[in-house]
Amino acid sequence: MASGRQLYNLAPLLPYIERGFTLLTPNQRLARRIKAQWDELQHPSGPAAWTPLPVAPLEVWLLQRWRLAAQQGSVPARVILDDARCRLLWQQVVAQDAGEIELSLLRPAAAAEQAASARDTLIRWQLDPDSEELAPEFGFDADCTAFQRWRREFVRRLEEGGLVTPSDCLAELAKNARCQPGLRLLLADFDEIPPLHRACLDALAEEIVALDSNGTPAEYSCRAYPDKQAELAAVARWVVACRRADPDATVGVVLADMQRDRAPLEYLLRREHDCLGENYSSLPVNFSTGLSLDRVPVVRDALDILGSCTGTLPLGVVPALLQSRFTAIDDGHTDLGVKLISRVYEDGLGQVDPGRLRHLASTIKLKADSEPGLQLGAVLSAQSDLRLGRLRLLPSGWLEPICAILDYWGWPGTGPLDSLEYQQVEHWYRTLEEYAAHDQVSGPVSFEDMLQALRFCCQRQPSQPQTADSPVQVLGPLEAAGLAFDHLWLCGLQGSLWPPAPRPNPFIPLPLQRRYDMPHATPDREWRFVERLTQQFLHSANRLIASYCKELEGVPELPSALLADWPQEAVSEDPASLPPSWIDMRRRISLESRRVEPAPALDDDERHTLHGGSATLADQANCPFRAFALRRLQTRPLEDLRVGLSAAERGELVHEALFVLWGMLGDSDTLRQQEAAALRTQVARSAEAAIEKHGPRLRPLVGAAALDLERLRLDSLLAQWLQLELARPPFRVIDLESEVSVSLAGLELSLRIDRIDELQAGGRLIIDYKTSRNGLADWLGERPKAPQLPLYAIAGGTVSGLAYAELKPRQLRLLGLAEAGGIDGVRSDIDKAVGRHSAAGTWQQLLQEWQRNLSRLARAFEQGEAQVDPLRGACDYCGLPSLCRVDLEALEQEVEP
Amino acid sequence: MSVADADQRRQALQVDQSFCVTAPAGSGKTELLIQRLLALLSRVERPEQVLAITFTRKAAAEMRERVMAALADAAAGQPCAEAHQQATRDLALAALARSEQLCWQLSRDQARLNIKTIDSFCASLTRQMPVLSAFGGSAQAVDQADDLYREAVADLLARLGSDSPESVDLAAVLLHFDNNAQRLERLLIAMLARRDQWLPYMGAHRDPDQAERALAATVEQVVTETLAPLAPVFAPFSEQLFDLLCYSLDQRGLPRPEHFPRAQAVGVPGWRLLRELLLTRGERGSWRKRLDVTIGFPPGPGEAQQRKDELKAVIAALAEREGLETALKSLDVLPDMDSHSASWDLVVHLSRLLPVLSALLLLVFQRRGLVDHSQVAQAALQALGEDEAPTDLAQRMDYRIEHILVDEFQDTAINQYRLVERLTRGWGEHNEANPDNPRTLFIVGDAMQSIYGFRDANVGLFLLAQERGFNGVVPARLQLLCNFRSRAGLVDWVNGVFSDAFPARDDIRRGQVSFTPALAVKPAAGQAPVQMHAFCGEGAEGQEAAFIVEQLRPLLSDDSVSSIAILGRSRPQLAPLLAALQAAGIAYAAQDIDRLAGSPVVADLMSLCRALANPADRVAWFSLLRAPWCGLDAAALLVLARLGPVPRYRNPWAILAELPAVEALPAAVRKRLAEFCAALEWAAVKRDRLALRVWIEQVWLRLGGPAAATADRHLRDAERFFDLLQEAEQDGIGLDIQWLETRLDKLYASAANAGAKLQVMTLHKAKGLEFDHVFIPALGKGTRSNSRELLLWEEYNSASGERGFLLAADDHSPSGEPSLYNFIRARGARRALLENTRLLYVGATRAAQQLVLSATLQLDATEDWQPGEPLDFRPPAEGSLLAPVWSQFSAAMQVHEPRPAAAPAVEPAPRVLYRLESLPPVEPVTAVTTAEGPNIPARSLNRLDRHVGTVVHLALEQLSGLDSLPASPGAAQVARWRAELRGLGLEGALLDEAQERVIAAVQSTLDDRQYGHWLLAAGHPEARSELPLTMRDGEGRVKDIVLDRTFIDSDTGVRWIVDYKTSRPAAGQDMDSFLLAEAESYRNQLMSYRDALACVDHREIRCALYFAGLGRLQRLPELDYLPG
Ligand code: SF4
Repeated sequence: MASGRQLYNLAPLLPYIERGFTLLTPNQRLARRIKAQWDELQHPSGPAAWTPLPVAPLEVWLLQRWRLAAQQGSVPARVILDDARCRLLWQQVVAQDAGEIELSLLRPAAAAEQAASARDTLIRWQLDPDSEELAPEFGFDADCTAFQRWRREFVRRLEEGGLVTPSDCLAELAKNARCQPGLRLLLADFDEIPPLHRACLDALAEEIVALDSNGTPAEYSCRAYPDKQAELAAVARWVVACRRADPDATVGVVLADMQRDRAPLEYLLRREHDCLGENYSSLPVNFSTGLSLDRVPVVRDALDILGSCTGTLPLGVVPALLQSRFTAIDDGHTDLGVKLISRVYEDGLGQVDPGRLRHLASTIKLKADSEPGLQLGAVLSAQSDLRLGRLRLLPSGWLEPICAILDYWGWPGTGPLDSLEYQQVEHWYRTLEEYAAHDQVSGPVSFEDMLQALRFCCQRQPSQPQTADSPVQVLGPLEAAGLAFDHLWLCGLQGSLWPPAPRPNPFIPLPLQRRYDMPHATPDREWRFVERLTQQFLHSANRLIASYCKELEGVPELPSALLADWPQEAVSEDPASLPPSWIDMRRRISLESRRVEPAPALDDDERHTLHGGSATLADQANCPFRAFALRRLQTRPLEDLRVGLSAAERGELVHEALFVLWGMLGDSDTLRQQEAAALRTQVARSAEAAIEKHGPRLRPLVGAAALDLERLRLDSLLAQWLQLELARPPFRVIDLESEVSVSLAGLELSLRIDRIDELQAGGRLIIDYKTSRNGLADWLGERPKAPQLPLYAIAGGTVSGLAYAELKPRQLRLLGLAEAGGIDGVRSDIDKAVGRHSAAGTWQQLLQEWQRNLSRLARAFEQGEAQVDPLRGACDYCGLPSLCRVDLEALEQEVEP
Repeated sequence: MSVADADQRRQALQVDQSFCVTAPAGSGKTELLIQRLLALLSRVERPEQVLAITFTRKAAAEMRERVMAALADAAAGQPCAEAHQQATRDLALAALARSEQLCWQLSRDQARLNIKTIDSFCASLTRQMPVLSAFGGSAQAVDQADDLYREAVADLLARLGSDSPESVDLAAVLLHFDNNAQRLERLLIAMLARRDQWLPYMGAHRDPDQAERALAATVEQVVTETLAPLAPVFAPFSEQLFDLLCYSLDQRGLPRPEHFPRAQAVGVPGWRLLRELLLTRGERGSWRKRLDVTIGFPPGPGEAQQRKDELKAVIAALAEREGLETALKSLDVLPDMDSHSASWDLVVHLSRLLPVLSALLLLVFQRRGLVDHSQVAQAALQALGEDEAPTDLAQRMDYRIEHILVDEFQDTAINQYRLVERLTRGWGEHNEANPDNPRTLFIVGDAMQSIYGFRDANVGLFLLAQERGFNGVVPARLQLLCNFRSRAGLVDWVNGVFSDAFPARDDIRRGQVSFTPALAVKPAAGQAPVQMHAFCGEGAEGQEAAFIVEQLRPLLSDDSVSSIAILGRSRPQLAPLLAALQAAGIAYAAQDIDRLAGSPVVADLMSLCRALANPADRVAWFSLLRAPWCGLDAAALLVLARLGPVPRYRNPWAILAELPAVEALPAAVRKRLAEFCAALEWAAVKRDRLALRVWIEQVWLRLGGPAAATADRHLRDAERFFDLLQEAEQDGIGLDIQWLETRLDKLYASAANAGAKLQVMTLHKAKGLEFDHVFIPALGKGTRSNSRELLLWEEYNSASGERGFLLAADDHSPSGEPSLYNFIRARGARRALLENTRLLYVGATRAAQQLVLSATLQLDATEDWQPGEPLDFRPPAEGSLLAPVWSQFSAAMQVHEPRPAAAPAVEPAPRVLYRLESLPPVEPVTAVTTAEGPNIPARSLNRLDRHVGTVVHLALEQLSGLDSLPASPGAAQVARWRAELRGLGLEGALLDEAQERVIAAVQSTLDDRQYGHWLLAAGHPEARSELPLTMRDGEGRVKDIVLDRTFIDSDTGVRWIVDYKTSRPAAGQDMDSFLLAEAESYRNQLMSYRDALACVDHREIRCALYFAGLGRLQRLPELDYLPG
């Protein structure tokens, strides 16, 4: 012990040790502690050696006895199933049963766990559920009868394999043990001993003494905090204060709710000890639990790598793996890597298909003329060459492929690893070997099953940093029992937790559990249990504080009844305050505000490289900052996740189909003269052509069936649309998808016009296909939201009308403005149609207005006007609010009254 | 204080009777519940037998706390301050006596008070019945299950195009919704979230045809029920009307029906003809006043006139009947049961898909090990068993629930109702057989305060329970009348206004609740208890806000006023007012009003997380550059944005690396960027080395994050965000942006001035609270018009108490036409309006002293209004809170004349960008040095070798105990070794190999007569195998060691220490170099063994390695030890 203080008071044990007693403890921690304390007393100066103190946890010691007995042949030799394999066997039993009676449990593993524990408890309580006396009790309900079925099958499988569980061993031992002359046992700090263990001990030992550590009663008090955060913060401050007052002191914190409070407390302890940044690894605190192995980053990434072999990969894992410190792949820091990730996000699928990823990774180039060069491509190809999907191997057989895959990725990286990671990698290898030992209860399995089982193994491994004993210990109640501290704090003693609500095992009839006073069965038992623990704590610390919070997650809490007579200590009623370092920083550094300046005007280079279209002007109109960010900064938001075809993709398909269709039809006369059947064929062919063109790109993303449906839909949509076209006065389609470029205020814009009709009545109508609903107001005003068609109108040539062809199901229509009337939906009463959005009264005036407004927009863009000034609704689907800070500013300017 | 309903309150404590208590706002029902619970405790054998169910966890905890306090006070003999406390005291004393008598230990085992929320009760049932509930074990129930639903829907959609039968249905449904999978997904997610409503009809175990038939049956029932009340009304006129109908049809040349329509589905067309005859067309149709040729009454004298008069008389008679007009109009949308219609087909497809979908959801739950609360409830119901095979709960729980109390029953959803139903099975019979010891129900609620319709609470269930009870236990109705909260004037006003606004009668199936007036306990005060204000014109909102601000000022400075609340439906409706409060510098605490994601500090933290998670998130990276820690202007951003061969894909880390060399940037900017880079590089170095929360926080601190906050509360928001990160780590989610965004969306920013006197919150949030002064502004605003949902459904309770389920897809039919969709929609709309009235009632009854209502209204004609003229208002939108009380409001409101809207500010305030003056000083990064090498452990997957070694050691230990060594290992020994190897986890071919190697090693030792036999000889003095020792080395380190073999060679008197090895030379390695290498690598270990033994045995010591498989002894002469 570094501190020189005792964590265990050995004095009462010494006479027994002298008399040759073997010391038994309820848990490993206490055994270790006693031994350490003892070792400290031995030949304190200079090198020495001595016979180890005979101290062991009861269960371990009994199993050793069984082993001895087995070696001596006094009990039959059997193969012991360790915990993990035992569970696996239970799971198999439950799964098989579920298959037989068509019962689908949501959490079969949990059921297996409970069943395993039920069987253990019954054995430990020396109860035979097959006995005449007990069997009927198990017959009352479906849960217990299911358990009986499972248990019998489990036992059958055990026997078949010549296997036993540890409890079975002890049962054998109890049956066959003979008294060992001279064996004297001291039971240290036991809360209770199950009947089976008791029977073994009674049979084996000549003399048994039970002893509780019985320090001087502590000075004790109780504190109440307004909420959890305040309580934990107080604990953290107290720990530091204790250590400051006496650097040698041993300090313990017992968390009644380890699961919930551990992480927040660790954080607060770090904060108090200033171990958040550079000193992260020097926190002088030991925690009795840690992350499970599957969660530690180096192992998490190993599991993710294995996960990339089959099934699908969550989207977020792609950038995570590319940036991982634990692979030799450096793609995360290259431009090509960024392009790969962008592509994967463009697919819009939440789950990435590894094949697709491999394809992208091996083919993506930065520019058309550069080479594909992602390391990931090679790795994924090598991986897929293993053909893992086809393999079925024994668990031990999987080690080789696993290592091969990890080698491809260069896991665990090129280092350097810190000492924690080093231990974790070793732990991973140990866990792999443990998984290999599943051979004992498992046949050949698929890669997916292997991975699932391996994950399960890792989940059950707490990753515990092997550090020297720290002066400060954070423990669960059971772990702390029997240990001695100078200062001890029991945290979280709300009435609802201390004692905890009973949790009887659902597979053993409750009356039985009550009769035999089984663990967690009744409130009374839980009460006695924590009462005893509390008593132990009272006697194992010089100074003891118990605390609880008066509110937890917004729900009021009462103190544990055990604290009823405790002296209350007043504490501050304030809820936890902000970290002083934050406040301090806010005071030290001031915030300056500056007016937003416009961006520089486009330079020649940009003029050449920005191949804008009408969308640039649309952005500029909607919000100048958006145009700047999207066009000039090239900050495009990542694509949203898709379900089926996106609106844009449907739009493309409609465009394509209409392009093909009108390419065939040519003019309204032809349309009119078509036989119905012929027309149907042409429509069908157009829909097909559209699907054919875009299918190869879309099929992997949405599946063939969705495209088939889309074809059907296009089919009927086009047919309906033609009805509308039929009603129009005669026209001739003179251009489809034609490319035009306009120069506006020095800005080159290239446009693509969906369709131009020459009207028999004279003039040209420009048509733009839409699959959504639109309004004419979007063309008008100083900042037309949808400047696309107006831009066509002034692009050149004589245009006498503009129209949206809206192919929105059930709301098909033409919508537009034109010089002359005659087409439904295309209005020529310009002055009325524009309403209050424009002052233009005629087509010519309108053209002038467009020329003016669009030139102004183009000039504004060109000159770098980039203020954050969205039109109403522009922000809704913009995706840039974090960059432009549009909503933040108001709040930033708020001052606290 | 006189308590007018003292009788009712006393009665409620009669523990041998069941009650349904209606407890209006301020009536002190919690006290009553506690009293009842205490009273029941003194009647039962075990406290668990009294089950109290509350609506929220908070309510459960508060109730427990109050019961405990009552017991504790009673035990301590605390004096009672007031008379009404005496009643509680007496009950507590009795309960206490019972507890002591039966050793309940209530004061220490709080958990024995069975006070639970529905969720926690169901969870405990599933825990206790893992197989019956099909849970298997407790599954974690999540509040936000959308991700799970989404996964299930994705699984369903993936079946499109497969061979599965549902593929066809899926295609049909998709096609109907324009192949818009996204919309269908959203819809199905919403359906899954509310599946407790339809599962019983279309759940996984239902066969689709059955589901279809059930739906058809329900529709038929709906139709019949709608018609049923008509028949008796029309009976007296039926002959006459039929005659007139035939006449009018003849006139129009239409076919006659055969007879007067019957009140059955087939009669619908006939009824519609009658409706057409009697009422004008459309949703606003009314009794006909003019009869003309369009409906078959031509002008002219004689028969024509006579017929007209006749019909007019009938209409006049019918018009007397209240509600008949509405009833007739409801025929309009009554669905046609046409099995050929597209919309019906769609419903059929859905009824086939939904069972599959719910089954897929179960698989998702299974995969993820998570469930939603609805699943817990389902499982609990399932565990309780169907009526035909009920589970004996008493057996399972070890006690029998004998009394149930349910609070807030008006907000009951169907699952809760079903649960009570199942828990009370057999109670009726029991009570008949045991009149002295009956089981009781105690239902408390206030239908007038039912405001959770949007969460599927169904007030009709409360009415149903009140009327019918459960399983033969029919509760007596008790009505509490006293309002202890509000002053008399207020109570009177509420009584007056809401008795008109509420419907006249309860109607279970329409979810229609009537009003019950309350009696004030507190006397009236001087001030006007209720004020009503109307504003109009373009600046109305601003005017309203300014008015309220003025009203608030005196109240805020008045110390006798302790609490003020501004209540609204939603944040947008309160926004103008909040802005005015800000501008006026009035502190307020806004609860759950602002979204956390919108807090500036949190937004920047989110950008930081996004950037660190994904180098391709260019928006996030540039957001970082524009955030206060860099505050780059457009020009600087542009420079950075153009770096790299293909700027769009430039890796941000490469940009950072390039920065120092970018000369286009001003020096100051470069300096700041260098500091920024240092922070991010630190982040890169520390990635995955710190806890997630610590990592992000530390980077943020290096960026001066806290200094960017303009208000303390923004820092508290940051804390919330870090807590969220901690949660992500604890749940094993890690830095998952999608998860963060979803979670963030559900969180609200911390309230500024948490303790402020003035609170701002939503009406829903205010339920159960009380304030001195309450303002409810913006009453005139409607909610966004009820958009056309693609699917509608409704649980339907028939008049006979049968429950059914209605489901309709948007058939694209115009509203007002017959269709199931329109029918359900119309009902839903009506329920929503009724709920509006109740919501306003809840808001109004929060006030203790004064209530101020205000609204902005539309003028009928704005253009020509001149100051001083009377104002003509349009009635408020139907969906507004004002609509139900419009007539009273408009009669009493104080009208504020419109003021022209404040001229728009000269120029909108210029946009500003914030920037930290400086960043915190750069702390040196202790680089993880590469000097010590990569520090990567060798892959040591050598379990076969290790296990062989272990068993060989064991074997040699056993042999060393024998008096004479065998020539070879016996079968029994080999079997034991094999068992050992299996115990270590070897199986199959590996096991055989290991066994061979063990045997070979042992055999070669046995064959090694020179060393092997010498080592194992039992005759050496002090011979020990596997000798454990504890030692302290020269540096004071204590360690435990085990010596494989040690003995004193009797010939020489020298002690030997021998360590067994089972290793062999690698292929191609020669024996001698192998042995030397092994000696080298084990030298230190053996040396420490030697030193340890030297402490206890002072004689000459020699050390060696023995290679069992090789039969070779390798001495380490350099370790030879001579004492002294
Ligand atoms: S979010 Fe709004 S303000 Fe920001 S860039 Fe987009 S449109 Fe402009």
